[in-house]
Amino acid sequence: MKLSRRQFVGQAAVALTTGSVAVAAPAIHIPKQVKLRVMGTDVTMQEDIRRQAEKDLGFEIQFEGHGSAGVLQKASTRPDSFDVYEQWSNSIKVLWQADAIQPIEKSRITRWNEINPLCKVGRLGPGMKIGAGDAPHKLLNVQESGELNENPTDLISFLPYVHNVDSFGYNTNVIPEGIPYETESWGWLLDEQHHGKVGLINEPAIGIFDAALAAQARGLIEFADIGNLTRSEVNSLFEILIDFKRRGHFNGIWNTVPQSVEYMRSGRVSIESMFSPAVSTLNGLGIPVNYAAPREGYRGWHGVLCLSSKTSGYMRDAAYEYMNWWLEGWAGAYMARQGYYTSVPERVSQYLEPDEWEFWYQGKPALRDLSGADGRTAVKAGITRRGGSYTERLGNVAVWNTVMDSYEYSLVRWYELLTS
Amino acid sequence: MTQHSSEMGSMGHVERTSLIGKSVANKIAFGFGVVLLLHLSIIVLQHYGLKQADAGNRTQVALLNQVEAFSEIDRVVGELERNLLLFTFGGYRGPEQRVVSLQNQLEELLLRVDTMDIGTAIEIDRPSIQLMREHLGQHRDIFASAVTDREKRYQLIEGELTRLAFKFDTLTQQLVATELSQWDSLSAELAFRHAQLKAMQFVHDPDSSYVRLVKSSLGSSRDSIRHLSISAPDTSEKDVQALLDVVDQYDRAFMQMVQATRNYLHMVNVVLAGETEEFLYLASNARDTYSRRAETLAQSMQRDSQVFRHACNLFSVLTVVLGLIATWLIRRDVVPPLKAITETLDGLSKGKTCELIPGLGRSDELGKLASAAQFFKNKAAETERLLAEVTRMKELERQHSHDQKMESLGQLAAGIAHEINTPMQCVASNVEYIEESFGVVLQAINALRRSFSQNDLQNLESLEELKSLVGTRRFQSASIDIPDAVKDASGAVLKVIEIVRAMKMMSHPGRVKSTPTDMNQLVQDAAVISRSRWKYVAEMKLELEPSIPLLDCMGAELSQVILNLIVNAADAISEKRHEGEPLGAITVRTAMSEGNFELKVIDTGAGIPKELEQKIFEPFFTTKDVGAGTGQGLAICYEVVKRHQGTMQVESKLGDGTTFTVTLPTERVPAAVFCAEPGLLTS
Repeated sequence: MKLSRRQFVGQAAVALTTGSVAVAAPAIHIPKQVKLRVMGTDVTMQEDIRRQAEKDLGFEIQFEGHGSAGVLQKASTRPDSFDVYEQWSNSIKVLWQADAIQPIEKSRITRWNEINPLCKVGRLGPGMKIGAGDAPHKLLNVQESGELNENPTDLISFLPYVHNVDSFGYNTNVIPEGIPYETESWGWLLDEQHHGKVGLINEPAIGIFDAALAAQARGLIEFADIGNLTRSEVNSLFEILIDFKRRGHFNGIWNTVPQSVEYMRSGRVSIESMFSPAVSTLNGLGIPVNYAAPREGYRGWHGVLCLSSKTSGYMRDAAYEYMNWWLEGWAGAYMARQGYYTSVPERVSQYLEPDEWEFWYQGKPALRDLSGADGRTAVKAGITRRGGSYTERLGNVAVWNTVMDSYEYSLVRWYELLTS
Repeated sequence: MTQHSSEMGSMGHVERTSLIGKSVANKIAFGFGVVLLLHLSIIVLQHYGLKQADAGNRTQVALLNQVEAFSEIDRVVGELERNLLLFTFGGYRGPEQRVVSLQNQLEELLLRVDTMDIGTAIEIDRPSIQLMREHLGQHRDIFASAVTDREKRYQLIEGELTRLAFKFDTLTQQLVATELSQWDSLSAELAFRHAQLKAMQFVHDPDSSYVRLVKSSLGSSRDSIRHLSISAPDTSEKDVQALLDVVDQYDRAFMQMVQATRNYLHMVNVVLAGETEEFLYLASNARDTYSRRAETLAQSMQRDSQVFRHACNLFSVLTVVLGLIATWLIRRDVVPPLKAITETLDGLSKGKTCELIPGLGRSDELGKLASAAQFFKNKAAETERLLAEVTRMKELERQHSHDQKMESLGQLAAGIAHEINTPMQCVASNVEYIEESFGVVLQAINALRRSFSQNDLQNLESLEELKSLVGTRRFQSASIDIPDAVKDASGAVLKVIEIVRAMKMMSHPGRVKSTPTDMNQLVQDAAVISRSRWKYVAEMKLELEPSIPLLDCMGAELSQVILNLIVNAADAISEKRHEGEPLGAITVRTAMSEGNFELKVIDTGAGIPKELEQKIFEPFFTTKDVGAGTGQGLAICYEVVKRHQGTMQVESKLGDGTTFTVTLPTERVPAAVFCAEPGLLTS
């Protein structure tokens, strides 16, 4: 019997209430011939992870990686093409509305209680600010009505796991090093000094916030809610951006992380929106790139593991096994060595050397050369992670990646920006 | 001073030439080699320039072809974007098909730029082309998805949503309208219409706010429909459920349409546009790169052309200048010394003197030529000097010969004087004796004459006086000895006459021409004349063959030969013989042997060592004490015999004596046809 998401939600809610839902039973038997299909972005579609997961879980796992847009398009239109989907929390709205994913039962997430409060309540501790836009906790909980909001239920739309804060990177051979949280600012992206050497990410749900933070930082515009821009604000913002673009301020709008690396490596840009691995890669290549800690705060993102609406039976069991495996710590440690955080820091710490833990999570200077996930030196002794500790960085999220109401409209204006 | 200057000049020249090369050939070869090299350089340069220009042109054409291809890519991408927009907003099949066609066209263009023959001078930017291919591939995939979404959206809007709206209308019209239910029915319908309206607004102007409104209105519609169960109990559960199902289906269809819209909008506006822009960026970069290269190449070719032109001009000028310099150097460095050498050699050939040949000291061929000329000049001078020396020696020899002759003559003269003196003393003594003896005779004669004059033959006194005179021993002796004295004197005179005749015979000046000569007489004369040289040391034996015919020869010269041989024989015996020892022997023998006249002079002297036998006929060779001989005697004898086409042999045994044999032909060959070298035979 095919169940729609709504039907599933309704039945699950009933089952949980009555305590008679079959999937709640812990006895799981997964046939060895299972091939779990995981679709996602290049961030987590890494061969080491796949092999380790196969080794630990005992069944075959297939990774299918695409760019953000490609993977979202495929996932939203063809939920039967994957079992587990991983991407950013801002894709949840689309996937959820498209009925491409099904709710995840908290009870089957073995280490749910160990997941830190960031994605549960939007901040790591009381008193800390919550970033604008779709903070992950706002999309986490599946309501009986089918809506997603911050009110906890037994069902969640995604399993929070890898997350980080993004900003921009800049080549210190070209741009003098700034002071984290003091002089480093999103405004640098629109600084005329960097004319012709600026890159943006080609993803409106992400790039628009980098541009908005930059424009606002430079005082070119003021938004009422940077997490949900109105059409008017979008228009004003794009007028500014198009003006910069037409004057040749931007020299590229990248589609993939490797492309962003190539932009900086080739000297096409000296400052651009970036993801953390690209910064590590460039530094590994000997190109000194600082990942800025903007005084306006970061753009936060939260990775999500989702369950395809079309996955059921032992494949779903395997999917749960895989999602739980992510919270065991090994994968989190592996991602930590690339600069990513995982929602179960304490678990991760058990798989990191103390000095690794201190550097990656606690923001302390590296006591020795630290290896990255690929075994090569990723961090030289004495270096301190820009932006400080996990708490400090995730406590400074200005805005979360968000699909705003004006998302569709922004797509049209984005087209204008691209082709202007 | 002249020599010094010349040497200085030569040294300076050596320094100069050493800078260029060692030999004239090298210098000339070097000079012309440089000129030839420059000339060849011009040819090579021109050839290279043309080749470069040709290669440059080909590269330029290839680059411009690339630029043109990338411009075409630009144009096609522009067309692609235009059709993409037409498709996005119109959804027509035409633009969709044109997009695919244009994508194919781009693929072909990329293949064209990738496989274009642009030579080896430039490299095709294959990484960029590969990236463009990847972007194009992405574009194809994404566009296919966009088409799917667009189609899905179209199907949802035109099909599912319309059908569901119609179904909703049909179902609501079928509802049993009661007063109570009318409001719920109307509310449900109004809410649904509102959702429909907002859905259409989303269709025409996609915005998430409409999605919320649609979902909200649909929720309201559902609430109103559910309320129908209460407000219109007559309404069947089935009808209510049917309406709810329609609303749910509409909701799902709407969300699918929303998602499809979002997807294709995202695909077209973000992903496709991003891929297209990146594609364009790469294409533009490639085009700019090729364009810049073409421009740079054009400038480079222009520069190269100028450089080649300048280089050719420079090389041409250099060729001419170096040619002139080479000519000047040859004229300065080669021609003058060559001319000087030639003139000097010419002068030398004409007998002019020259201290040094010009060009000596040079290390090149001219130097060698000058050295050779100097060598030959020196040799010529040496030869000249030798000739002078030979002339002088001949003169000396002649003088010596004369002296020797004179010496011989002197010795002979002394001997002859002695020989003459002895008989003359004899004559004088006898004459003196006769004179003295004649006093007694004269007294007797006077006594007798007085007696006759007084006629007193009885005058005793006179008689007595006569008697006493005649009776004196003196008178008696005189009467006996005077005839003897006269006879002795006469004989002595005859001896003198004989000696004088022999001398006359030897020194007769008129006998330099060949005349029939009695060789035995020559021998006898020589023995007579030389008697004073041998009579104290040797006895002379003349063994003369009486039948020797007269020999046609120069008698005076041959007399001297015989005389020399006899004198030498006497000297050789004298060297050997000690005082008081018996006299040696000199034998002079004449004979005819095989038709030739043969003369042997045999002595019992000291003999000649074997090693000296070869030298005794050389001029000035002598074994006699210094001043005792001139060393010319035998050499002159040899020359005389040679002139008579005869030979001289010597046989000697050290300590026993020596035999000289002179052989003369009785009939001589005329000198003009005589060519046989007279042998000097020794044993």
